[in-house]
Amino acid sequence: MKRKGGSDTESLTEKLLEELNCDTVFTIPVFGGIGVAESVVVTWIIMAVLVGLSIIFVRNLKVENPGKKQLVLESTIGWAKDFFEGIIGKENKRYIPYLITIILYLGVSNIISLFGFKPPTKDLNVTAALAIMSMFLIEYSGIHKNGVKHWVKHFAEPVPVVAPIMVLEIVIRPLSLCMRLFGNVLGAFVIMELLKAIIPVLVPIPFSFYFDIFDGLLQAYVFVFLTALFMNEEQE
Amino acid sequence: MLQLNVNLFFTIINLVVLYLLLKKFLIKPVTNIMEERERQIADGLNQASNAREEAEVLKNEYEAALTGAREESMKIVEKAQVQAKAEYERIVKDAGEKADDMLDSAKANIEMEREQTMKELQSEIAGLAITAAAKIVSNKAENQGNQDIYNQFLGEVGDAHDDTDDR
Amino acid sequence: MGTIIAIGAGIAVLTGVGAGIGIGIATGKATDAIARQPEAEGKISKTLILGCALAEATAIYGFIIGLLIILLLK
Repeated sequence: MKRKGGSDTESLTEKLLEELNCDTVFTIPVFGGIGVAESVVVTWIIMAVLVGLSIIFVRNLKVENPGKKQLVLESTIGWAKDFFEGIIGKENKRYIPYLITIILYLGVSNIISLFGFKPPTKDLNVTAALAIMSMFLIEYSGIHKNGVKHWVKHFAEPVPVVAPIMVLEIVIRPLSLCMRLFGNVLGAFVIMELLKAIIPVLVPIPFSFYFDIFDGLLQAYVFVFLTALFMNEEQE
Repeated sequence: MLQLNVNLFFTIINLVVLYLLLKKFLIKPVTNIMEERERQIADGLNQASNAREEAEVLKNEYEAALTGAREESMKIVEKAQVQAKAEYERIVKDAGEKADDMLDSAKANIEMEREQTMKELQSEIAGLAITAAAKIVSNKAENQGNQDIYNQFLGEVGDAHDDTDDR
Repeated sequence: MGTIIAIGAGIAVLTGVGAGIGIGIATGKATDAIARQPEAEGKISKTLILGCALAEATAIYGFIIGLLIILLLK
């Protein structure tokens, strides 16, 4: 009994680990072989889908008498623009396309497990890449707004003692972003895999709604929301 | 799963490419369309307000013209009234003058007539006086010498008397 | 060894307690606030989601540490 249970658990663990592992899809035969991970390939698929869809939807835009598709598209983009403008202000309009790109990418990649792909955000490389880009964007927006001098000075405010903490914050903020996204997606993924391994029929459906759709979209929202918020903070 | 490797850079490149592509294919066109529409709406509103302002200006002009016309008509009426009054006064004055003239001439006529009458009367009175004197003289002077003078005088007076009777 | 690792991972996941308490308090307060001012619901929800995401991060960190313990100390 115990032995059987042990082997069951072992096989479950193995299966889980296999699911969690980021496979290398293929290897580029240069520099002794560069492995391209599954997450990168899925990202390519997402890119292709997003760009293809946007080309299809944007093709027949009209100024007057917009169709239903166009209205949906416009209200979505308009909502996103208003949302980001509300956080980072009208003068930072140029960062909005990037934020919209990120929220679209994250939204799609977080719910892509519904279509049978492994979500790329489950790979630490992807979330780390996103966090690094966010970090550069946050610091760049601060420098662009207030100049290098002010940027260097603001570490010593309100008192110079806090300078190490302020410097650490540069890294901590994106690290927190990265880990939050990664942990959430991974946690949701693990729970879903466990559920599917134990009861494969019907029961995972409501959980899937929560963990895959709601949590995924919420994390995408939170990621860009926090990025925009940090940008705004950095510009003060 | 938990190790960072070269895929991080692949992902960064992917994301930058995705950003550029989406910016070109999705966000730019949609934003352009929305801005275009906003501009058109703003244009329409501007035009509407312009048209309204124009209408307002026209209305004001018309009102001003109307007021001017009314004032002018009032002025004309006033002028006409003044003119009429002046004319009336002039006519009345003329009439008064004429009447005065007529009165004067009538008075002068009367005066003249009266004077003439007076003259005639005087001459008549003188005649009568002479006649009376002649009668007195005839009573007194019986001589022939005086008879001629008397006849002559009588003839003269009688003529004068006849003339007075004719009048 | 395996038992100790499991205990360690379990302790790491105890961070979830803090996150749970924090999110619970935050949601309770948000409900109070919405009950008091229903017209400010949008702003309150936004702030609540942000706060929950920040509070939840601790639980996520614990989860990741637990995962690291299990996977790396095996």
